Amino acid sequence: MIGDKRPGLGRRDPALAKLHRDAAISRVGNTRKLVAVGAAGLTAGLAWLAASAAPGRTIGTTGQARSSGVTPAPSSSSSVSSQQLPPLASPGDLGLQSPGQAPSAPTGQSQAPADQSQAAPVTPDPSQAAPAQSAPQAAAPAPVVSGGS
Amino acid sequence: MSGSVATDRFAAFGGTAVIAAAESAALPGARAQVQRTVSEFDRTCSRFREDSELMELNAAAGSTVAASPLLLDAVDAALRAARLTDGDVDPTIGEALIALGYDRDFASVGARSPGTVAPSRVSFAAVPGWRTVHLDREAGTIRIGRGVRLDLGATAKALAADRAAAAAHAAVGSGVLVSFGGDMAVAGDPPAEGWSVRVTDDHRSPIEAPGQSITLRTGGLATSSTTVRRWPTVEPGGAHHLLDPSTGRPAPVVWRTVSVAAGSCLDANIASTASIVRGERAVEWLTSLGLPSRLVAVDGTARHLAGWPSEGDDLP
Repeated sequence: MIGDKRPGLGRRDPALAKLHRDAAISRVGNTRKLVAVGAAGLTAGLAWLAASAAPGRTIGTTGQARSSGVTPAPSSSSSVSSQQLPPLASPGDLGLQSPGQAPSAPTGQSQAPADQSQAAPVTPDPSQAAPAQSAPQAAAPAPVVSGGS
Repeated sequence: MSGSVATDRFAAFGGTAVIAAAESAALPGARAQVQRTVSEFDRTCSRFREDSELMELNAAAGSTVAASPLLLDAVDAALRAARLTDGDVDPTIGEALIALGYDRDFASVGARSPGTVAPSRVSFAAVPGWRTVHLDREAGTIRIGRGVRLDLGATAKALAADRAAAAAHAAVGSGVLVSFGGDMAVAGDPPAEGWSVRVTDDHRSPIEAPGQSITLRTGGLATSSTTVRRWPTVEPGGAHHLLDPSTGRPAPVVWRTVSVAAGSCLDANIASTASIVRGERAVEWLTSLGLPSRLVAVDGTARHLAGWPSEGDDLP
């Protein structure tokens, strides 16, 4: 200030001037740090407020706000229905179904003829009865033949 | 409960139908139901009856046609087979079969035996593919592409076996087994010892024919073979009825016979037919699906997959 009679100013002591400058620089630095920290805190606060106000929303979406943790009900609007999943496939469409029980080797197939007499009688096919009865090692009668047709 | 298994048989679908009932008293009622099912399917799905609904559909190729519920079911089953096999079982092979000479009931085709008539000159037709078939369940209509001719033989007979077994069991209460040309379905409780089945190349074979005896209790069983329904042609080796839809020609013979057990006769038939077409690839496919299977190679060796028993097989 003009006319200031504070001691030392007029003499412009270089060491003192340097101290003043360093102190000013330090204050500016501290102010910048404070501003940065404040800005970060403010951003975080605003983000938390926005997330609380509109959870689950993304920039650019047009859907309505959803309440957190709740699966939205299907909408009847055409834009949403076009995104619905296809109907569930029937079990038959999922693939070829295995049998409930795999075929097995006949029990007692090679047992003595005495066992065969206890087997359930089968109405014989005329074309099959004779060979079956004439074969001494024949197994229990096979009522059905599976083969190509 | 009479406790005795009884069987009966009659001609159906160009082969032999067999009905077995776990209780002998139930056999007449079961047979009546099976015959009814056979009549319905024959009237609807036959490629060899001029008055069948399938023939009308084929004649109307290019147009949308109202279809009966049974034809819808049969075509739907055929399309499902195509989807599940990536087109290796395809209902649009009708024209290709005709080009090969299989243009009438096989009893007539087979009459062209060597020495009686000259081998047929054959041609090959491309298979249009199952995606040319449009089925609308809600509207009850089917539209096949212009020039497309359906053959439902691979799946309709198996579907008929499933339906016949279910209907017979529902009518008589007894456990029943129904076989059409060797493709069989069971319904209800089996006999205590299970259904005894002889698996071999030809369903008309006597039970002592080389093969394997097994016991079946649930689901269905189907066998496809390149040793049957063969006819002489000018081509070396003649022709057989199992076509590879990708070529329109008889599938190369890697397996002479494939038998598959599945949850239904329809699924078993789809798998056995596709396996003939797939050749070596069938082994991995059937194993991955967990379908118990028996595959007989051309040299007569048998492979047993996915739980199919290996005991008692006559073949090495």
